[in-house]
Amino acid sequence: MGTKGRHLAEFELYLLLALAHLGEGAYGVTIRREIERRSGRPVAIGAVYATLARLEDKGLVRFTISEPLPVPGGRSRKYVRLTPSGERALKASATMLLRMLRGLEPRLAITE
Amino acid sequence: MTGPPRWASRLLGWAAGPDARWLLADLEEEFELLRMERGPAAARHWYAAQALRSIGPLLRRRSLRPSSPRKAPMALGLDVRFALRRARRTPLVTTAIVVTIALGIGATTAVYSVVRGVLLKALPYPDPDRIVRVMTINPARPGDLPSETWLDLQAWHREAGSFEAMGGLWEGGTMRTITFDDRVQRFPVTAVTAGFADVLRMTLLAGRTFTDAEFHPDGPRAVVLGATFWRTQLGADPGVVGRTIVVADTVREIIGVLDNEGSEFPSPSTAMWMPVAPRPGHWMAGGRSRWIAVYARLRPGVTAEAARAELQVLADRSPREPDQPVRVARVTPLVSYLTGPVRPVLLLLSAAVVVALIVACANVAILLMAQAEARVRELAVRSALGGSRRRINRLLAIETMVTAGVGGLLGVALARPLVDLFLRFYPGRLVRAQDISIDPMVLAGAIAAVAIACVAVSWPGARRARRVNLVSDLKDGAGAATAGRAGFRGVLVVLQLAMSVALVSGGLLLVRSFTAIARVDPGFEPRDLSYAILSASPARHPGDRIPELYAEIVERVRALPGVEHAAAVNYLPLPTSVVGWGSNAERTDRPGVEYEIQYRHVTAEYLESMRLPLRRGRPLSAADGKAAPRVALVNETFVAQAFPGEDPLGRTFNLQGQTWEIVGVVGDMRYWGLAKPVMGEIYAPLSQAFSQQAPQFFAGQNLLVRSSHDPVALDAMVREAVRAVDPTMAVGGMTSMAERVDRALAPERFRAMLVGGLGLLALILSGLGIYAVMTWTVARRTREIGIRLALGAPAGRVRGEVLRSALRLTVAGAVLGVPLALAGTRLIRGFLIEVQPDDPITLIGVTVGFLALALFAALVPARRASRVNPLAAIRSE
Repeated sequence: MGTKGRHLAEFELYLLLALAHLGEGAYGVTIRREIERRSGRPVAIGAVYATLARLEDKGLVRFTISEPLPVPGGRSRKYVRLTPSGERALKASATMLLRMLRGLEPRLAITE
Repeated sequence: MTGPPRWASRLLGWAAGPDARWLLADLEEEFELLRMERGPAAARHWYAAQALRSIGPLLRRRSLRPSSPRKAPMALGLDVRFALRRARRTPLVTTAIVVTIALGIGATTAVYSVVRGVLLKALPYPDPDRIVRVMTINPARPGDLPSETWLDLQAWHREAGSFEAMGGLWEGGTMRTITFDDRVQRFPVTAVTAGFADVLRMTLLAGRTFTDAEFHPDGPRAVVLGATFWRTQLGADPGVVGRTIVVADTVREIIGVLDNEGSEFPSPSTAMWMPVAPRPGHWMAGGRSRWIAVYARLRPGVTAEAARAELQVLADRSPREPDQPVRVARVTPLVSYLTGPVRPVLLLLSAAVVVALIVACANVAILLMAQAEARVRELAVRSALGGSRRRINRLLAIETMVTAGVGGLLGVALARPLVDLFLRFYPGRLVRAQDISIDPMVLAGAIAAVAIACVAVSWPGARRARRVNLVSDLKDGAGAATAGRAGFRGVLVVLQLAMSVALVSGGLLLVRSFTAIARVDPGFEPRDLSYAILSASPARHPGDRIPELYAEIVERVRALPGVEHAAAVNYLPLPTSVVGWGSNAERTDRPGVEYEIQYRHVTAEYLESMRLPLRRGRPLSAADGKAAPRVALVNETFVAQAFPGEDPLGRTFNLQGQTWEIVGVVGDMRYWGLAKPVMGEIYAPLSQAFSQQAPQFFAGQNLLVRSSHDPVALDAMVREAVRAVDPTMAVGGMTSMAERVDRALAPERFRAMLVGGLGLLALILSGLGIYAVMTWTVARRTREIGIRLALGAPAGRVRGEVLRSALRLTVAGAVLGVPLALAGTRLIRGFLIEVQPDDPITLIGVTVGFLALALFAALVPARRASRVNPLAAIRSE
């Protein structure tokens, strides 16, 4: 399914942004915490996984499953990274958002 | 309790599907962190909140894609496609299985439908099990068609309390000439006595049935139509009541229409009913004339046995001549009376089909198991590549279902055509054939049974797949664990062989019976002989005209080009239904001793037309006319009975009040049937036998024509000739006598073909079974054979072992099969002619035949075994 020109849903966009922030080594825990920290709202791990699966369907992210960690009782992790397609989609959505926002900061009183 | 809440983990584990592992691990990681930061209670609280908040998104995700992307939704379709592809790779085996299943379902349904429709279904009358056939039989002559006298019927009607309705019908001579709407055609008309309508209680579609007035000898002439005749010939005319119609020269008024559609009885094609009530003094009203077939309806609560007992009392009391024996009363439910004669054949059919099916199913089982075996390696590979146990089971089940499904669909399509095929080859008309219908419930049941059976047979293969030992199976293919399979398969083959031996034995006996009866000399020459039924109207030819009429017709036909001889006779040999009553003759010099004979009136050239051999004396001639002294020819059997050891020429006998001189003896003719005993026959000239008092007995004759022309060509010429003499005479179609004789063989031929054909099928299937098992055995033990060959065993020895193994199986099959055959053939004793059920030649022949079959079937596998390449066998599979 091609995503050229397709809109990203809100949470999908946040997820891709979080991935852009995190870079390498992003996985369920770090992603969830990143979004929660930046947005200030609680984020359900289930929402993260469900949206990640949707993004993978669209070809915007890719998973890598790691070997179990070399510690006793070590677990394996499902790492996530953006695909080139995902980078492009993220750029497009972010650009569009910025364009729409330009000039509205005083009106909307956007603060950190 | 310091871990995450178990319920939450479980819930998430289920909702997350394939991601559950990582999702739960992530949550646990954070849980640990939180526990250290904020304590276990807060951590658990947080965990629970996460679980609850995650359910929504996870389930929403699941409803879009039930499980992991590349698997499930296509899975079912994929499996079916795969099953079909596999089936195409082994076309022979798959076809064999599908065809066997189709035939199994189709044949079982067909047989059951026939038995149900003919034997089991209730007759289409109200309370049909209360209707009975009432008769008295002469115990000395059990083969006679039972009929009662008019006086007896009246007496029973008055005095028998067991019946709430009783009536009779005249079973002789039903075809009558009907004239209506300017058409003249012959139809079956049933003559009935008063009370008959109450016995059957058919529905009236119009008008009324007969009242007592119509049963008076001088009463109004009425007729009641059958619904079929009314619909097809009169266009269901609503104003039919009150119209007149001419029945055999008598104008009758149509007083009603009865619904006899679907009624087998008295015959499926009865066009109409007319009342019969003889005048006192008429021969039909006498105490010696038996012509009525009596039917009755039992009073509620009265059993057939009780009615029979009462009837016996009445029969003992009935007035009779001192020389007449006491008759035995019988009361038979109508359905048994109608279908009794066909029950043995239908049961034979059912038994033979069931045995053949068992043989076929054993074959299918062997093939399915062999298939499952051959796939063990494939299944091992699938399992190694990650196929779950459930998927593999499902795959196998789907494959079996597809095969059974296709076979089932074919079987459904086959059921009705198989019934039609049976009806077409059945000799004559099968009673209640129109009541045969394919019950969808039976079809569904048959399909379900077959599907279950297929799965059951493949189940061991599926179980094997579950216990798959990857390493050994990938190396080995069919490993040592299949030894148990060998035993079971051997049992199947032996079972197959036993059943086949029994079936083939039965079939062979029936075939021998057929050839025995086909060899019988009918006593006359049926080739180049044709006949047609002529019917004159006595009203048109009063006085002595009838014999002259026929003499003239015969002369004209004789003069036609290509006709060698022509004659007329009242009855032809090998009738399909029982016609003609016997008469009694006695020697003039020994009155009081009666011999039962068949009485024939013939014209001069009868002997030459039939090519009946003249043994002594002279044939009849035109000189033996009505003014000349009464002469007759007799057959050898009569001479043996009445004049044993004496010269009959010149002797006289009395018959029907007249004295005749014997002037010639002719050879015996098989009148009643090719396998039935010969009776005494007397041939008298038509002109001398004719009686003006009862012209109707001479009005209908069979015209015999000996000519090399075929019947179709003769038909036109004969009609022409007859029309020239009497344009109003009814002429039946010209039929070949050879065909008539052939028809007499039809029942034996049918049985031989049926059981013989099924036996042949079983034979072939058994051969295939042996072949399959031998092939499989050789394949299984290829490595062992290879080693032995490498060690120097002669190829001949290996070959011999395979053959011996096949023979051992066959001997086991024969040991089981011969007692089975003996038991089975005893049941068909009634069908056998000139051969005994335990005929040793047949049994030995069948056994030897099967041994030869086993050798033949095992040839190819044996050769393959001897040709095994030892190196290749040892190295791999």
